[in-house]
Amino acid sequence: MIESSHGTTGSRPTADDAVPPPNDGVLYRGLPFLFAVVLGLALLPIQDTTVDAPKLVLSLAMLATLFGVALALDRRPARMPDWFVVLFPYLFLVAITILRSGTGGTQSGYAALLFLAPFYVALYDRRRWQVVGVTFAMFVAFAFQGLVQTDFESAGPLRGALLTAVVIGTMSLAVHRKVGRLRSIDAELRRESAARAAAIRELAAANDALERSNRDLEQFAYVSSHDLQEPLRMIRSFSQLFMQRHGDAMNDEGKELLGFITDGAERAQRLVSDLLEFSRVGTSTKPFEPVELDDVLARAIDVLTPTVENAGATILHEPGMPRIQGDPAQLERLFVNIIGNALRYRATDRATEIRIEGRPDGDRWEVTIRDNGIGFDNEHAERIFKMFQRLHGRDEYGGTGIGLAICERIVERHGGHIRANGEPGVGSTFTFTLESRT
Amino acid sequence: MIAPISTIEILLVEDNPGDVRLTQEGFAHAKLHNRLWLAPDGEAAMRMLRHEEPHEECPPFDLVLLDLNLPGAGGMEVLREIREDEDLGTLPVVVLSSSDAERDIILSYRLHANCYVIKPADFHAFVDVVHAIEQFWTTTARLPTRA
Repeated sequence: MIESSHGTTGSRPTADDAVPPPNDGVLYRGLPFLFAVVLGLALLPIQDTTVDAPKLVLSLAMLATLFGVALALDRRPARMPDWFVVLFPYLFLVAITILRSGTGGTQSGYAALLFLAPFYVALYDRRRWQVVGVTFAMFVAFAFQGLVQTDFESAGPLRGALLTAVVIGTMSLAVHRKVGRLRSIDAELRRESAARAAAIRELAAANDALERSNRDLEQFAYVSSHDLQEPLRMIRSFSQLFMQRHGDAMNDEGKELLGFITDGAERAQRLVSDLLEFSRVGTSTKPFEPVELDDVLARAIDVLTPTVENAGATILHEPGMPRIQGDPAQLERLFVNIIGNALRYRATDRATEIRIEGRPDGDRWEVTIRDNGIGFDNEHAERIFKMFQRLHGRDEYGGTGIGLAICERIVERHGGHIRANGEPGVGSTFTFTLESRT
Repeated sequence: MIAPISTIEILLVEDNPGDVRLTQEGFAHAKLHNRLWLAPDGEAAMRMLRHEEPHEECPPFDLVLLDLNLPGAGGMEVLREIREDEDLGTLPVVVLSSSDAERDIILSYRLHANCYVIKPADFHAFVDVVHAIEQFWTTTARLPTRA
Protein backbone atom coordinates (compact mmCIF):
# COMPACT_ATOMS: atom_id res chain seq x y z
CA MET A 1 0.00 0.00 0.00
CA ILE A 2 1.42 3.35 -1.00
CA GLU A 3 0.58 5.70 1.86
CA SER A 4 1.57 8.99 0.32
CA SER A 5 2.75 9.14 -3.18
CA HIS A 6 1.88 12.81 -3.38
CA GLY A 7 4.76 15.11 -2.73
CA THR A 8 7.22 12.34 -3.33
CA THR A 9 6.38 11.69 -6.96
CA GLY A 10 9.78 13.22 -7.80
CA SER A 11 11.25 11.56 -10.83
CA ARG A 12 8.31 9.31 -11.45
CA PRO A 13 6.27 10.26 -14.51
CA THR A 14 2.70 11.12 -13.54
CA ALA A 15 -0.29 9.62 -15.33
CA ASP A 16 -2.83 12.21 -16.61
CA ASP A 17 -5.67 12.36 -14.11
CA ALA A 18 -4.86 9.35 -12.03
CA VAL A 19 -2.24 10.74 -9.71
CA PRO A 20 -3.75 13.58 -7.70
CA PRO A 21 -1.90 16.79 -7.19
CA PRO A 22 -0.13 17.18 -3.84
CA ASN A 23 -2.26 17.95 -0.75
CA ASP A 24 -5.22 16.11 -2.24
CA GLY A 25 -4.79 13.33 0.21
CA VAL A 26 -6.76 14.79 3.09
CA LEU A 27 -9.80 15.36 0.90
CA TYR A 28 -9.60 11.85 -0.47
CA ARG A 29 -9.29 10.39 2.93
CA GLY A 30 -12.15 12.53 4.26
CA LEU A 31 -14.64 11.96 1.49
CA PRO A 32 -15.61 8.35 2.18
CA PHE A 33 -16.19 9.21 5.81
CA LEU A 34 -18.37 12.14 4.84
CA PHE A 35 -20.34 9.92 2.49
CA ALA A 36 -20.73 7.36 5.19
CA VAL A 37 -22.33 9.98 7.41
CA VAL A 38 -24.63 11.24 4.65
CA LEU A 39 -25.61 7.73 3.65
CA GLY A 40 -26.25 6.81 7.23
CA LEU A 41 -28.53 9.81 7.69
CA ALA A 42 -30.32 9.10 4.42
CA LEU A 43 -31.00 5.53 5.35
CA LEU A 44 -32.08 6.22 8.87
CA PRO A 45 -35.70 5.30 9.15
CA ILE A 46 -36.88 8.80 8.36
CA GLN A 47 -40.22 7.87 6.83
CA ASP A 48 -41.04 5.62 9.71
CA THR A 49 -42.73 7.23 12.61
CA THR A 50 -41.03 4.84 14.97
CA VAL A 51 -37.34 4.59 15.57
CA ASP A 52 -36.64 1.24 17.09
CA ALA A 53 -33.44 -0.11 18.57
CA PRO A 54 -32.46 -2.64 15.86
CA LYS A 55 -32.75 -0.06 13.12
CA LEU A 56 -30.64 2.39 15.08
CA VAL A 57 -28.01 -0.25 15.88
CA LEU A 58 -27.84 -1.37 12.25
CA SER A 59 -27.55 2.20 11.05
CA LEU A 60 -24.67 2.80 13.45
CA ALA A 61 -23.07 -0.49 12.43
CA MET A 62 -23.32 0.60 8.84
CA LEU A 63 -21.68 3.91 9.67
CA ALA A 64 -18.86 2.11 11.40
CA THR A 65 -18.44 -0.28 8.53
CA LEU A 66 -18.32 2.48 5.95
CA PHE A 67 -15.81 4.25 8.10
CA GLY A 68 -13.84 1.02 8.11
CA VAL A 69 -14.05 0.84 4.36
CA ALA A 70 -12.81 4.42 4.15
CA LEU A 71 -9.86 3.47 6.31
CA ALA A 72 -9.30 0.29 4.38
CA LEU A 73 -9.14 2.28 1.16
CA ASP A 74 -6.42 4.32 2.68
CA ARG A 75 -4.44 1.58 4.37
CA ARG A 76 -5.45 -1.33 2.28
CA PRO A 77 -3.29 -4.34 2.91
CA ALA A 78 -1.54 -5.40 -0.27
CA ARG A 79 -3.42 -8.66 -0.32
CA MET A 80 -6.91 -7.09 -0.30
CA PRO A 81 -8.02 -7.25 -3.94
CA ASP A 82 -9.62 -4.30 -5.73
CA TRP A 83 -12.88 -6.10 -6.33
CA PHE A 84 -13.29 -6.61 -2.61
CA VAL A 85 -12.94 -2.91 -1.91
CA VAL A 86 -15.59 -2.19 -4.51
CA LEU A 87 -17.90 -5.07 -3.74
CA PHE A 88 -17.93 -4.72 0.00
CA PRO A 89 -19.89 -1.45 0.25
CA TYR A 90 -22.20 -2.70 -2.46
CA LEU A 91 -23.04 -5.86 -0.57
CA PHE A 92 -23.57 -3.72 2.46
CA LEU A 93 -26.13 -1.68 0.58
CA VAL A 94 -27.89 -4.88 -0.41
CA ALA A 95 -28.11 -5.74 3.26
CA ILE A 96 -29.52 -2.32 4.08
CA THR A 97 -32.16 -2.62 1.39
CA ILE A 98 -33.27 -5.94 2.75
CA LEU A 99 -33.35 -4.41 6.20
CA ARG A 100 -35.53 -1.60 4.95
CA SER A 101 -37.89 -4.03 3.27
CA GLY A 102 -40.31 -3.61 6.16
CA THR A 103 -41.17 -0.14 4.96
CA GLY A 104 -42.59 -1.49 1.72
CA GLY A 105 -39.77 -0.53 -0.58
CA THR A 106 -38.56 -4.10 -1.13
CA GLN A 107 -39.26 -4.41 -4.79
CA SER A 108 -38.00 -1.02 -5.80
CA GLY A 109 -34.91 -1.42 -3.58
CA TYR A 110 -33.99 -4.69 -5.23
CA ALA A 111 -34.63 -3.30 -8.64
CA ALA A 112 -32.48 -0.28 -7.86
CA LEU A 113 -29.62 -2.43 -6.61
CA LEU A 114 -29.81 -4.79 -9.57
CA PHE A 115 -29.83 -1.80 -11.83
CA LEU A 116 -26.95 -0.23 -9.98
CA ALA A 117 -24.74 -3.25 -9.90
CA PRO A 118 -23.25 -3.05 -13.39
CA PHE A 119 -22.77 0.69 -13.09
CA TYR A 120 -21.17 0.34 -9.77
CA VAL A 121 -18.76 -2.25 -11.08
CA ALA A 122 -18.20 -0.21 -14.20
CA LEU A 123 -17.22 2.77 -12.07
CA TYR A 124 -14.29 0.92 -10.80
CA ASP A 125 -12.60 0.98 -14.12
CA ARG A 126 -13.72 4.20 -15.74
CA ARG A 127 -12.48 7.71 -15.99
CA ARG A 128 -13.88 10.57 -14.01
CA TRP A 129 -16.23 12.02 -16.62
CA GLN A 130 -17.68 8.57 -17.15
CA VAL A 131 -18.36 8.34 -13.45
CA VAL A 132 -20.31 11.57 -13.60
CA GLY A 133 -22.24 10.17 -16.54
CA VAL A 134 -23.02 6.97 -14.73
CA THR A 135 -24.11 8.86 -11.64
CA PHE A 136 -26.47 10.90 -13.78
CA ALA A 137 -27.76 7.74 -15.42
CA MET A 138 -28.54 6.37 -12.00
CA PHE A 139 -30.47 9.47 -11.14
CA VAL A 140 -32.51 9.06 -14.27
CA ALA A 141 -33.00 5.39 -13.60
CA PHE A 142 -34.29 5.96 -10.13
CA ALA A 143 -36.47 8.84 -11.14
CA PHE A 144 -37.94 6.81 -13.99
CA GLN A 145 -38.49 3.85 -11.74
CA GLY A 146 -40.32 6.13 -9.30
CA LEU A 147 -42.52 7.51 -12.05
CA VAL A 148 -43.54 4.29 -13.76
CA GLN A 149 -44.12 2.15 -10.75
CA THR A 150 -47.54 3.03 -9.54
CA ASP A 151 -47.43 0.85 -6.49
CA PHE A 152 -44.25 2.55 -5.41
CA GLU A 153 -44.65 4.39 -2.19
CA SER A 154 -44.61 7.86 -3.62
CA ALA A 155 -42.43 10.25 -1.67
CA GLY A 156 -40.41 8.28 0.91
CA PRO A 157 -38.75 5.52 -1.09
CA LEU A 158 -38.12 7.80 -4.04
CA ARG A 159 -36.30 10.27 -1.85
CA GLY A 160 -34.38 7.43 -0.24
CA ALA A 161 -33.47 5.96 -3.61
CA LEU A 162 -32.34 9.30 -4.97
CA LEU A 163 -30.27 10.02 -1.91
CA THR A 164 -28.79 6.56 -2.09
CA ALA A 165 -27.96 7.05 -5.73
CA VAL A 166 -26.27 10.37 -5.03
CA VAL A 167 -24.33 8.92 -2.17
CA ILE A 168 -23.31 5.80 -4.06
CA GLY A 169 -22.38 7.87 -7.08
CA THR A 170 -20.18 10.27 -5.19
CA MET A 171 -18.74 7.61 -2.99
CA SER A 172 -17.97 5.57 -6.05
CA LEU A 173 -16.27 8.59 -7.46
CA ALA A 174 -14.06 8.74 -4.40
CA VAL A 175 -13.45 5.00 -4.54
CA HIS A 176 -12.79 5.22 -8.19
CA ARG A 177 -10.30 8.03 -7.88
CA LYS A 178 -8.60 6.37 -5.01
CA VAL A 179 -8.46 3.04 -6.80
CA GLY A 180 -7.45 4.80 -10.01
CA ARG A 181 -4.58 6.47 -8.25
CA LEU A 182 -3.51 3.21 -6.66
CA ARG A 183 -3.79 1.46 -9.97
CA SER A 184 -1.70 4.04 -11.70
CA ILE A 185 0.92 3.77 -8.97
CA ASP A 186 0.68 0.03 -9.27
CA ALA A 187 1.08 0.22 -13.05
CA GLU A 188 3.96 2.60 -12.58
CA LEU A 189 5.60 0.18 -10.15
CA ARG A 190 5.00 -2.69 -12.52
CA ARG A 191 6.55 -0.70 -15.35
CA GLU A 192 9.48 0.21 -13.18
CA SER A 193 9.94 -3.31 -11.98
CA ALA A 194 9.72 -4.61 -15.54
CA ALA A 195 12.24 -2.01 -16.66
CA ARG A 196 14.47 -2.96 -13.76
CA ALA A 197 14.14 -6.65 -14.58
CA ALA A 198 15.01 -5.88 -18.20
CA ALA A 199 18.00 -3.83 -17.07
CA ILE A 200 19.11 -6.66 -14.82
CA ARG A 201 18.76 -9.11 -17.69
CA GLU A 202 20.76 -6.79 -19.94
CA LEU A 203 23.43 -6.38 -17.28
CA ALA A 204 23.62 -10.12 -16.77
CA ALA A 205 23.96 -10.65 -20.52
CA ALA A 206 26.65 -7.97 -20.74
CA ASN A 207 28.38 -9.55 -17.78
CA ASP A 208 28.24 -12.95 -19.46
CA ALA A 209 29.68 -11.51 -22.64
CA LEU A 210 32.43 -9.79 -20.69
CA GLU A 211 33.26 -12.94 -18.80
CA ARG A 212 33.35 -14.89 -22.03
CA SER A 213 35.56 -12.35 -23.74
CA ASN A 214 37.76 -12.26 -20.66
CA ARG A 215 38.06 -16.03 -20.72
CA ASP A 216 38.85 -15.94 -24.43
CA LEU A 217 41.50 -13.34 -23.82
CA GLU A 218 43.03 -15.34 -20.99
CA GLN A 219 43.01 -18.40 -23.19
CA PHE A 220 44.56 -16.40 -26.00
CA ALA A 221 47.27 -15.06 -23.72
CA TYR A 222 47.89 -18.53 -22.39
CA VAL A 223 48.05 -20.29 -25.73
CA SER A 224 50.06 -17.60 -27.46
CA SER A 225 52.61 -17.28 -24.69
CA HIS A 226 52.82 -21.04 -24.45
CA ASP A 227 53.33 -21.50 -28.16
CA LEU A 228 55.81 -18.65 -28.25
CA GLN A 229 58.02 -20.44 -25.75
CA GLU A 230 58.84 -23.18 -28.24
CA PRO A 231 60.50 -21.15 -31.03
CA LEU A 232 62.23 -18.95 -28.47
CA ARG A 233 63.68 -22.01 -26.84
CA MET A 234 64.99 -23.07 -30.24
CA ILE A 235 66.63 -19.71 -30.90
CA ARG A 236 68.22 -19.66 -27.48
CA SER A 237 69.36 -23.26 -27.41
CA PHE A 238 70.83 -23.26 -30.88
CA SER A 239 72.59 -19.96 -30.54
CA GLN A 240 74.16 -21.45 -27.42
CA LEU A 241 75.05 -24.62 -29.28
CA PHE A 242 76.38 -22.57 -32.15
CA MET A 243 78.51 -20.54 -29.78
CA GLN A 244 79.79 -23.74 -28.19
CA ARG A 245 80.65 -25.44 -31.46
CA HIS A 246 81.73 -22.56 -33.65
CA GLY A 247 82.51 -19.78 -31.19
CA ASP A 248 86.21 -20.26 -31.68
CA ALA A 249 85.90 -19.89 -35.43
CA MET A 250 84.14 -16.54 -35.12
CA ASN A 251 85.70 -13.13 -34.77
CA ASP A 252 84.64 -10.77 -31.98
CA GLU A 253 81.90 -9.13 -34.03
CA GLY A 254 80.37 -12.49 -34.85
CA LYS A 255 80.35 -13.39 -31.16
CA GLU A 256 78.81 -10.05 -30.27
CA LEU A 257 76.04 -10.43 -32.84
CA LEU A 258 75.29 -13.94 -31.68
CA GLY A 259 75.25 -12.59 -28.14
CA PHE A 260 72.48 -10.17 -29.16
CA ILE A 261 70.45 -13.07 -30.54
CA THR A 262 70.83 -15.14 -27.37
CA ASP A 263 70.14 -12.16 -25.19
CA GLY A 264 67.04 -11.14 -27.16
CA ALA A 265 65.66 -14.65 -27.08
CA GLU A 266 66.30 -14.89 -23.36
CA ARG A 267 64.48 -11.65 -22.68
CA ALA A 268 61.58 -12.59 -24.92
CA GLN A 269 61.37 -15.88 -23.10
CA ARG A 270 61.23 -14.22 -19.68
CA LEU A 271 58.56 -11.90 -20.96
CA VAL A 272 56.50 -14.73 -22.35
CA SER A 273 56.82 -16.76 -19.17
CA ASP A 274 55.82 -13.73 -17.07
CA LEU A 275 52.85 -13.15 -19.36
CA LEU A 276 51.93 -16.77 -18.98
CA GLU A 277 52.08 -16.43 -15.25
CA PHE A 278 50.02 -13.25 -15.32
CA SER A 279 47.31 -14.99 -17.31
CA ARG A 280 47.48 -17.98 -14.98
CA VAL A 281 46.78 -15.89 -11.88
CA GLY A 282 43.56 -14.82 -13.56
CA THR A 283 42.51 -18.26 -14.75
CA SER A 284 43.46 -20.22 -11.66
CA THR A 285 40.52 -22.15 -10.29
CA LYS A 286 42.48 -23.74 -7.50
CA PRO A 287 40.46 -23.46 -4.29
CA PHE A 288 42.02 -21.50 -1.44
CA GLU A 289 43.54 -23.39 1.44
CA PRO A 290 44.85 -22.38 4.87
CA VAL A 291 48.25 -20.77 4.40
CA GLU A 292 50.74 -19.70 7.08
CA LEU A 293 51.99 -16.35 5.83
CA ASP A 294 55.20 -16.74 7.84
CA ASP A 295 55.97 -20.00 6.02
CA VAL A 296 55.21 -18.46 2.65
CA LEU A 297 57.54 -15.55 3.39
CA ALA A 298 60.27 -17.94 4.55
CA ARG A 299 59.99 -19.90 1.31
CA ALA A 300 60.10 -16.71 -0.75
CA ILE A 301 63.24 -15.58 1.07
CA ASP A 302 64.72 -19.04 0.44
CA VAL A 303 64.08 -18.70 -3.27
CA LEU A 304 65.76 -15.29 -3.26
CA THR A 305 68.76 -16.28 -1.15
CA PRO A 306 71.30 -16.27 -4.03
CA THR A 307 70.11 -12.83 -5.14
CA VAL A 308 70.08 -11.53 -1.58
CA GLU A 309 73.63 -12.73 -1.01
CA ASN A 310 74.73 -11.43 -4.34
CA ALA A 311 73.36 -8.00 -3.50
CA GLY A 312 74.76 -8.10 0.01
CA ALA A 313 71.29 -7.25 1.25
CA THR A 314 69.70 -7.79 4.66
CA ILE A 315 66.11 -8.86 5.05
CA LEU A 316 64.54 -8.03 8.40
CA HIS A 317 61.26 -9.48 9.52
CA GLU A 318 59.58 -10.63 12.68
CA PRO A 319 57.43 -13.71 12.44
CA GLY A 320 53.90 -13.38 13.72
CA MET A 321 51.83 -13.12 10.60
CA PRO A 322 48.59 -15.09 10.67
CA ARG A 323 47.27 -18.06 8.81
CA ILE A 324 44.98 -17.00 6.00
CA GLN A 325 42.95 -18.59 3.23
CA GLY A 326 44.83 -18.39 -0.04
CA ASP A 327 46.84 -19.89 -2.83
CA PRO A 328 50.28 -20.65 -1.34
CA ALA A 329 52.14 -20.63 -4.67
CA GLN A 330 50.66 -17.27 -5.63
CA LEU A 331 51.35 -15.73 -2.23
CA GLU A 332 54.94 -16.92 -2.44
CA ARG A 333 55.19 -15.35 -5.87
CA LEU A 334 53.80 -12.11 -4.41
CA PHE A 335 56.59 -11.93 -1.80
CA VAL A 336 59.24 -13.03 -4.29
CA ASN A 337 58.22 -10.35 -6.78
CA ILE A 338 58.11 -7.48 -4.30
CA ILE A 339 61.28 -8.44 -2.44
CA GLY A 340 62.93 -9.21 -5.80
CA ASN A 341 61.93 -5.75 -6.94
CA ALA A 342 63.51 -4.22 -3.85
CA LEU A 343 66.70 -6.13 -4.60
CA ARG A 344 66.70 -5.13 -8.23
CA TYR A 345 66.19 -1.43 -7.59
CA ARG A 346 68.70 -1.19 -4.76
CA ALA A 347 70.90 1.84 -4.28
CA THR A 348 74.57 1.28 -4.99
CA ASP A 349 75.88 3.69 -2.37
CA ARG A 350 74.55 1.93 0.72
CA ALA A 351 73.86 -1.54 2.06
CA THR A 352 70.44 -2.74 1.01
CA GLU A 353 68.00 -3.31 3.81
CA ILE A 354 64.53 -4.72 3.31
CA ARG A 355 62.13 -4.63 6.20
CA ILE A 356 58.94 -6.72 6.19
CA GLU A 357 56.22 -6.02 8.71
CA GLY A 358 52.72 -7.31 9.16
CA ARG A 359 49.90 -5.95 11.27
CA PRO A 360 46.19 -6.62 11.60
CA ASP A 361 43.91 -4.11 9.91
CA GLY A 362 40.30 -4.85 10.83
CA ASP A 363 39.36 -8.15 9.21
CA ARG A 364 42.43 -7.93 7.02
CA TRP A 365 46.13 -8.31 7.44
CA GLU A 366 48.39 -5.57 6.17
CA VAL A 367 51.90 -6.38 5.01
CA THR A 368 54.48 -3.68 4.43
CA ILE A 369 57.73 -4.26 2.55
CA ARG A 370 60.06 -1.27 2.89
CA ASP A 371 63.44 -0.87 1.22
CA ASN A 372 66.15 1.77 1.11
CA GLY A 373 66.66 1.50 -2.64
CA ILE A 374 66.52 4.08 -5.38
CA GLY A 375 62.83 4.79 -4.73
CA PHE A 376 60.56 6.47 -7.24
CA ASP A 377 58.49 9.55 -7.68
CA ASN A 378 55.05 9.12 -6.14
CA GLU A 379 53.35 10.40 -9.26
CA HIS A 380 54.14 6.98 -10.76
CA ALA A 381 52.75 5.11 -7.75
CA GLU A 382 49.80 3.71 -9.69
CA ARG A 383 51.48 3.35 -13.03
CA ILE A 384 54.01 0.81 -11.79
CA PHE A 385 51.29 -1.80 -11.33
CA LYS A 386 50.29 -1.59 -14.97
CA MET A 387 51.68 -4.15 -17.36
CA PHE A 388 54.88 -3.26 -19.20
CA GLN A 389 55.18 0.00 -17.30
CA ARG A 390 58.77 0.55 -16.40
CA LEU A 391 60.26 3.61 -14.81
CA HIS A 392 63.81 2.72 -15.75
CA GLY A 393 65.59 1.44 -18.82
CA ARG A 394 65.74 -2.35 -18.98
CA ASP A 395 69.49 -2.26 -19.47
CA GLU A 396 69.82 -0.50 -16.16
CA TYR A 397 67.77 -2.82 -13.99
CA GLY A 398 66.31 -5.63 -16.09
CA GLY A 399 62.85 -7.04 -15.44
CA THR A 400 59.92 -7.47 -17.75
CA GLY A 401 57.49 -4.92 -16.38
CA ILE A 402 54.96 -7.60 -15.54
CA GLY A 403 56.03 -8.56 -12.02
CA LEU A 404 54.05 -5.91 -10.17
CA ALA A 405 51.02 -6.42 -12.42
CA ILE A 406 51.13 -10.06 -11.33
CA CYS A 407 51.36 -8.90 -7.68
CA GLU A 408 48.32 -6.69 -8.06
CA ARG A 409 46.37 -9.55 -9.57
CA ILE A 410 47.36 -11.94 -6.82
CA VAL A 411 46.44 -9.47 -4.08
CA GLU A 412 43.08 -8.74 -5.70
CA ARG A 413 42.36 -12.44 -6.00
CA HIS A 414 42.94 -12.64 -2.25
CA GLY A 415 40.43 -9.87 -1.57
CA GLY A 416 42.98 -7.14 -0.87
CA HIS A 417 44.63 -4.06 -2.30
CA ILE A 418 48.19 -3.14 -3.06
CA ARG A 419 49.76 0.29 -3.13
CA ALA A 420 53.22 1.70 -3.46
CA ASN A 421 54.88 4.69 -1.96
CA GLY A 422 58.26 5.99 -3.00
CA GLU A 423 60.75 8.71 -2.42
CA PRO A 424 63.50 9.12 -5.00
CA GLY A 425 66.88 8.34 -3.49
CA VAL A 426 65.38 7.17 -0.19
CA GLY A 427 63.42 4.01 -0.88
CA SER A 428 60.10 2.41 -1.70
CA THR A 429 57.34 0.95 0.41
CA PHE A 430 54.90 -1.62 -0.89
CA THR A 431 51.83 -2.25 1.21
CA PHE A 432 49.23 -4.87 0.54
CA THR A 433 46.27 -6.22 2.43
CA LEU A 434 44.97 -9.77 2.48
CA GLU A 435 41.71 -11.09 3.84
CA SER A 436 42.70 -12.72 7.10
CA ARG A 437 39.79 -15.13 7.51
CA THR A 438 40.91 -18.67 8.17
CA MET B 1 63.35 -64.62 -18.97
CA ILE B 2 65.27 -61.40 -19.01
CA ALA B 3 67.17 -60.69 -22.17
CA PRO B 4 70.60 -59.23 -21.58
CA ILE B 5 70.36 -55.62 -22.55
CA SER B 6 73.15 -54.68 -24.83
CA THR B 7 71.57 -51.87 -26.74
CA ILE B 8 68.86 -49.66 -25.30
CA GLU B 9 66.29 -48.94 -27.95
CA ILE B 10 64.68 -45.55 -27.43
CA LEU B 11 61.81 -44.15 -29.47
CA LEU B 12 61.68 -40.38 -29.61
CA VAL B 13 58.25 -39.12 -30.67
CA GLU B 14 58.94 -35.55 -31.68
CA ASP B 15 58.00 -33.43 -34.67
CA ASN B 16 60.27 -30.48 -33.99
CA PRO B 17 63.64 -31.03 -35.72
CA GLY B 18 65.26 -28.63 -33.27
CA ASP B 19 64.19 -30.71 -30.30
CA VAL B 20 65.24 -33.89 -32.10
CA ARG B 21 68.68 -32.39 -32.51
CA LEU B 22 68.84 -31.24 -28.90
CA THR B 23 67.82 -34.70 -27.69
CA GLN B 24 70.43 -36.29 -29.90
CA GLU B 25 72.99 -33.95 -28.36
CA GLY B 26 71.91 -35.13 -24.94
CA PHE B 27 72.29 -38.78 -25.88
CA ALA B 28 75.58 -38.24 -27.68
CA HIS B 29 77.62 -38.62 -24.52
CA ALA B 30 75.74 -41.64 -23.19
CA LYS B 31 77.80 -44.22 -21.40
CA LEU B 32 75.70 -47.14 -22.55
CA HIS B 33 75.11 -48.01 -26.11
CA ASN B 34 71.70 -46.81 -27.12
CA ARG B 35 69.87 -46.25 -30.32
CA LEU B 36 67.53 -43.34 -30.81
CA TRP B 37 64.66 -43.94 -33.20
CA LEU B 38 62.51 -41.13 -34.43
CA ALA B 39 58.77 -40.92 -35.00
CA PRO B 40 57.58 -37.55 -36.30
CA ASP B 41 53.95 -38.07 -35.29
CA GLY B 42 51.69 -40.26 -33.20
CA GLU B 43 50.58 -42.51 -36.00
CA ALA B 44 54.15 -43.33 -37.02
CA ALA B 45 54.99 -43.89 -33.36
CA MET B 46 52.23 -46.48 -32.91
CA ARG B 47 53.20 -48.26 -36.14
CA MET B 48 56.82 -48.39 -35.05
CA LEU B 49 55.91 -49.65 -31.59
CA ARG B 50 53.73 -52.37 -33.12
CA HIS B 51 56.22 -53.13 -35.90
CA GLU B 52 53.57 -52.47 -38.45
CA GLU B 53 54.22 -51.72 -42.06
CA PRO B 54 56.47 -49.99 -43.10
CA HIS B 55 58.28 -50.30 -39.77
CA GLU B 56 58.67 -54.06 -39.52
CA GLU B 57 62.39 -53.59 -39.05
CA CYS B 58 61.90 -51.70 -35.79
CA PRO B 59 63.22 -53.47 -32.70
CA PRO B 60 61.20 -53.89 -29.53
CA PHE B 61 61.61 -50.61 -27.66
CA ASP B 62 62.84 -50.10 -24.10
CA LEU B 63 61.80 -46.51 -23.59
CA VAL B 64 59.61 -43.89 -25.23
CA LEU B 65 60.36 -40.17 -25.08
CA LEU B 66 57.09 -38.52 -25.94
CA ASP B 67 56.46 -34.91 -26.88
CA LEU B 68 52.90 -33.75 -26.23
CA ASN B 69 52.70 -31.16 -28.95
CA LEU B 70 52.42 -33.45 -31.97
CA PRO B 71 50.63 -32.99 -35.28
CA GLY B 72 47.38 -34.95 -35.58
CA ALA B 73 46.13 -36.81 -32.58
CA GLY B 74 48.69 -35.34 -30.14
CA GLY B 75 50.91 -36.85 -27.49
CA MET B 76 48.18 -37.55 -24.95
CA GLU B 77 46.40 -39.75 -27.47
CA VAL B 78 49.60 -41.67 -28.16
CA LEU B 79 50.10 -42.14 -24.42
CA ARG B 80 46.54 -43.38 -24.02
CA GLU B 81 46.92 -45.78 -26.92
CA ILE B 82 50.19 -47.17 -25.57
CA ARG B 83 48.63 -47.76 -22.16
CA GLU B 84 45.59 -49.44 -23.65
CA ASP B 85 47.69 -51.76 -25.80
CA GLU B 86 48.10 -55.19 -24.28
CA ASP B 87 51.71 -55.58 -25.40
CA LEU B 88 52.86 -52.02 -24.87
CA GLY B 89 51.13 -51.38 -21.55
CA THR B 90 54.29 -51.81 -19.48
CA LEU B 91 56.57 -49.79 -21.74
CA PRO B 92 58.13 -46.87 -19.83
CA VAL B 93 57.05 -43.54 -21.28
CA VAL B 94 58.78 -40.30 -20.42
CA VAL B 95 56.79 -37.25 -21.41
CA LEU B 96 59.16 -34.57 -22.62
CA SER B 97 57.18 -31.42 -23.11
CA SER B 98 57.65 -27.69 -23.24
CA SER B 99 54.35 -27.24 -21.41
CA ASP B 100 54.49 -26.53 -17.70
CA ALA B 101 50.72 -26.34 -17.49
CA GLU B 102 49.35 -28.15 -14.48
CA ARG B 103 46.59 -29.80 -16.50
CA ASP B 104 49.09 -31.36 -18.93
CA ILE B 105 51.15 -32.68 -16.05
CA ILE B 106 48.17 -34.11 -14.22
CA LEU B 107 46.64 -35.66 -17.33
CA SER B 108 49.94 -37.27 -18.29
CA TYR B 109 50.30 -38.94 -14.91
CA ARG B 110 46.67 -39.91 -14.96
CA LEU B 111 47.39 -41.69 -18.23
CA HIS B 112 50.23 -43.45 -16.44
CA ALA B 113 53.20 -41.65 -17.91
CA ASN B 114 56.29 -42.79 -16.02
CA CYS B 115 57.50 -39.27 -15.62
CA TYR B 116 56.93 -35.80 -16.91
CA VAL B 117 59.90 -33.64 -17.82
CA ILE B 118 59.72 -30.03 -18.93
CA LYS B 119 62.13 -29.17 -21.72
CA PRO B 120 64.49 -26.59 -20.30
CA ALA B 121 64.90 -23.33 -22.17
CA ASP B 122 68.65 -23.35 -21.82
CA PHE B 123 70.67 -25.54 -24.15
CA HIS B 124 72.99 -26.82 -21.46
CA ALA B 125 70.12 -27.53 -19.14
CA PHE B 126 68.33 -29.40 -21.93
CA VAL B 127 71.33 -31.59 -22.59
CA ASP B 128 71.67 -32.22 -18.86
CA VAL B 129 68.04 -33.25 -18.57
CA VAL B 130 68.21 -35.65 -21.49
CA HIS B 131 71.39 -37.04 -20.08
CA ALA B 132 69.75 -37.54 -16.70
CA ILE B 133 66.82 -39.34 -18.31
CA GLU B 134 69.16 -41.60 -20.21
CA GLN B 135 71.18 -42.27 -17.08
CA PHE B 136 68.21 -43.06 -14.92
CA TRP B 137 66.26 -45.23 -17.32
CA THR B 138 69.14 -47.15 -18.75
CA THR B 139 71.30 -47.55 -15.68
CA THR B 140 69.37 -46.99 -12.48
CA ALA B 141 65.88 -48.21 -13.32
CA ARG B 142 65.11 -51.82 -14.04
CA LEU B 143 63.08 -52.02 -17.24
CA PRO B 144 60.47 -54.67 -17.96
CA THR B 145 61.12 -57.39 -20.49
CA ARG B 146 60.77 -56.03 -23.97
CA ALA B 147 57.36 -56.25 -25.56
